[in-house]
Amino acid sequence: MNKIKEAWALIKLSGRVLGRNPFLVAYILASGLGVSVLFGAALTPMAVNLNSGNTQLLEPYARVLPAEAGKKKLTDRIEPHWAPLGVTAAAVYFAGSLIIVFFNVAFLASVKRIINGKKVTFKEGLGLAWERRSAVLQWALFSATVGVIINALKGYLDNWLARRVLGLAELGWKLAVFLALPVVAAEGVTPLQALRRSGDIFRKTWGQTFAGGVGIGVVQLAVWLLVGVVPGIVLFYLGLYNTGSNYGLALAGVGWLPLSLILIGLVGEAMLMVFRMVLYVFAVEGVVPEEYKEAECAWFVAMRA
Amino acid sequence: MERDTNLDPVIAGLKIDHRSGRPVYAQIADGIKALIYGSRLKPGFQLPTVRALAEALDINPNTAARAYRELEHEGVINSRVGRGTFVEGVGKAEGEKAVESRLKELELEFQSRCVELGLNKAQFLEYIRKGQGEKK
Repeated sequence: MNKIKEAWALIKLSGRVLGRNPFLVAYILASGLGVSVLFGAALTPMAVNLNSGNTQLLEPYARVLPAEAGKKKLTDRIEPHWAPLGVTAAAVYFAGSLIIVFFNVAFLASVKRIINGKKVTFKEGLGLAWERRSAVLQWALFSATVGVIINALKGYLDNWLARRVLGLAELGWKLAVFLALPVVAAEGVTPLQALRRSGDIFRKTWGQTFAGGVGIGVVQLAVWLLVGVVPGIVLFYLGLYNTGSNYGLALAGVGWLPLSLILIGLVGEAMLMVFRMVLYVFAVEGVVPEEYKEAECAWFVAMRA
Repeated sequence: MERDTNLDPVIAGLKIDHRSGRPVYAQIADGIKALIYGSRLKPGFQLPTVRALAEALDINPNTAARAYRELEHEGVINSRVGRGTFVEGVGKAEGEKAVESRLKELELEFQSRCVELGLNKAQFLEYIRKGQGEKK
């Protein structure tokens, strides 16, 4: 019961931190934008080459066979060179992982400063992540490698039991990452140390971690039902039946459902990220890190001579 | 005006290990008790404010406040509204317990550093002994 109470206090604090510092969402947007630009930059030249028939950019990665009667389309005449293709794909995957980890660390480090009663800007948050660049780089490489291994195993395993075991391992990995990244942001340790610390933190806070994760999910769903689904259905109904077939209004109602889901998903993701750092501070410092209120600590805040 | 926190004997004397597994507020409380027991802080000494302590140790101000509350509850410090927080004193048993607890933390940190450096205890102690010899 105590764990649920504490989890609720941590969720409320996460909500307040995000509500008062909406700029935190920008880290998630910047991360998404960065990854999109990266994948766009990596894939667009190939796509353009495939469409235009110009094979110059494809040559390091594939052999293009001459056109024959049966194989006129360019895509049918490509024989991939797996080694350079694999290396390039791995490099792009790692760069994507690096972008995500960097912005996540900036987000988490900013949250730590905020709950410690300090002010922080978006730029300062990026600076905090930059200070941890070595740990960020190591974690990005480590997590990308584990991600590739898990995905590769998923493709190879066809045994039911082996797939279940892999599923459990993947869940364990996700949980480890959930708590390890705040450790990387706060302590700048190596990946193995971060994993060990995340295990320690999980042993102390497993109840709050699950209750908090479920709580944020339930809040997200409730908000989506109230702000997304109900207005969407009302608009759809009004558009079709109450205003003389206003299809624009009905379409807006239908469009609002996925749009609101994306927006609330974004806010939920940001809140979960705040919760991760709040949970870390709770585990390490042993106190539910409520926001600092000077008036309540008046006894201890008198200026010194 | 606030005093320079770099020169503050409390802040200079407290060493917080975020990885020790012991709650930070308990580490602060034990650290202050050990400083009093070791006569580094005398009765009547004014402790730093919650905010100054939190800022110097990079912790949540509520954690620092919790440590002060625990110490006040035990009669180790005394908070006077509008004036600040002052050292009262610590009993022998309580002081020894705090010192022992700090020593245990140092022992754990020592072990963890040995693991980090790939050394066993004997190798590490040998290194220290050599260093001492060179100094002489």
